[in-house]
Amino acid sequence: MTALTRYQVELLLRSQRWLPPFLGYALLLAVGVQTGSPLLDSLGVNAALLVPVTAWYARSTLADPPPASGRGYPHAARAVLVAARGAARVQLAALLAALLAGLLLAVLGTAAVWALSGPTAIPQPPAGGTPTPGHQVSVPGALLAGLLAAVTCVLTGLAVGALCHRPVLLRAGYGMLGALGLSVLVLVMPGSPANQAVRALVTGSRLARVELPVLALVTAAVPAALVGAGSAWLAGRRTE
Amino acid sequence: MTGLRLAGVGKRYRRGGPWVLRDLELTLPAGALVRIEGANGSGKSTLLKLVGGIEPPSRGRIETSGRRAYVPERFPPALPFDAGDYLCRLGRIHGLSARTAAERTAYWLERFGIADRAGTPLNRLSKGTCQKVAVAQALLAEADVLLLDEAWTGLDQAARAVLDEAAAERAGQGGTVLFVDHDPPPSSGPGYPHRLAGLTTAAYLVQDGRVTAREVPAASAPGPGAPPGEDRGRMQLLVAATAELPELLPGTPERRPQPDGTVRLLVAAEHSDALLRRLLGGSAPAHILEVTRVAAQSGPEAKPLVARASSETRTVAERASAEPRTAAERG
Repeated sequence: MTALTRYQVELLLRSQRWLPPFLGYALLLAVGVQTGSPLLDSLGVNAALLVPVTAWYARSTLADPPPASGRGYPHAARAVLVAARGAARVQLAALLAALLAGLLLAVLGTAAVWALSGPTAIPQPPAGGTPTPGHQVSVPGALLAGLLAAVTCVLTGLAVGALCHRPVLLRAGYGMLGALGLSVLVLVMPGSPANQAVRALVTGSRLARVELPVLALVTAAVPAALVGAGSAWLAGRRTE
Repeated sequence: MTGLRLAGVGKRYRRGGPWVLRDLELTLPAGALVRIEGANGSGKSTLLKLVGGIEPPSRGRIETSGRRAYVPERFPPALPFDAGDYLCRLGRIHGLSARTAAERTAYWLERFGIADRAGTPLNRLSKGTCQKVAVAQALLAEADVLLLDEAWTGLDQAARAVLDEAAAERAGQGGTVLFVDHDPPPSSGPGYPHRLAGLTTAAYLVQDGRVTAREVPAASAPGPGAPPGEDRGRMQLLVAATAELPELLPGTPERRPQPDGTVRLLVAAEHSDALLRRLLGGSAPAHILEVTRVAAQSGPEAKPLVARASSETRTVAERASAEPRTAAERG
């Protein structure tokens, strides 16, 4: 399993497939996080972006490597792995590689937002009226909350990506559209873990209050694990 | 026991679609070298994919044990790895230690004569060289189930011979080998024997979704490693089996149990090395007491080549295990 996951991670890195999602993420983060905007808001943007970006990574690792110049059969590289280790393990290793890529971005993104962070105090108390000093959040607390929210969104994105690719979704044409649509849906749907985590940050920014989205993280981990296990089960039972 | 078993296996690619294979009952013991025949699109590749776990059966059960390795009919050279790197990684995925994977990678690259390409990216290799990598990937696993789907296609003559040897060796060491190959049928004349003729233990024809056993070509054709056209007579091995000998042994030796519990094995001379290798290789534990040559057309009296002394017997054992790969295994 370790060897398979390492192989998938290396494939992701060496094939340059890591680059487009990363560039998209970096670009949107640069647009969304302006120097000087409130720290918790920026962490919220970072977390929200990680849903579609991780879904994209999952699609990249689950896809077959492209055949060279029209020859070759696209599943051959995967078929060799499946014969050696079984379809379920190959599927899980691909998802693990995407998870690692997402987690790395979560850490890097949180650090980048910290570097660019704006004020951690709010100019006005929430109820309006005269500004009062002391409406300030602690930076380590805010960063921890931001990281937890980012991991929540990575797990959600992983589940979205796995749902929108073979062996779960067999119609390849709808995969990209489905992943994007589902990402938006889980972000705006009240009650979804990703929505709760991002909302906790944004509300916290308005109220100058740090709220750790631990419950959201746990509720995101459960469906992600279920989708991972389910897709691995399906991988051994679906015809190419 | 190793080997593989298919029970009531059926396969169709979509619900309501035609059955590519149906009601397939097949049991193959360890040491089987099995040829799968059939026209294009008859389901040969599907059968190999089912055994390899690449396609799930629509019905029935498939049981294999141990390591499985598969050579696809077409291998994509677009992977972003060097040939050597790719083989090492595949070795690790097959469950080898890092050191064993590296050693076997070097061994197979050398044996296919492409050791100088170890650092070349796969997408810069020629089609034939890439096919050698695809084949090496499966061979370095020393799998219990080896599946070769037209693996010879695109290989040069030297590499074909190496693959012939390697497939026979794998079966000889107790693996189950299934291969598909489009070589000329026997109707082309005696000059065109089937691939691995004489070593193949069974053959099956895939036609109209059914798999039927075929008569295996006679063992008269020379096997790999033997000088063609020369009858070198037979070898007689006196063996004290520590357990029951496997059902399939290289060269299908004639067995003559002796009153004292030992067994005399009579085998065509060109298969005797493979038989010795199997018996000494560990998967079929047996103690070799004596190796003698039986003259081709003469009577039963045999001229001893190796005296009945354990030190001499060990010389034979050492020679048989002096292959580089065996050294890599034990290392």
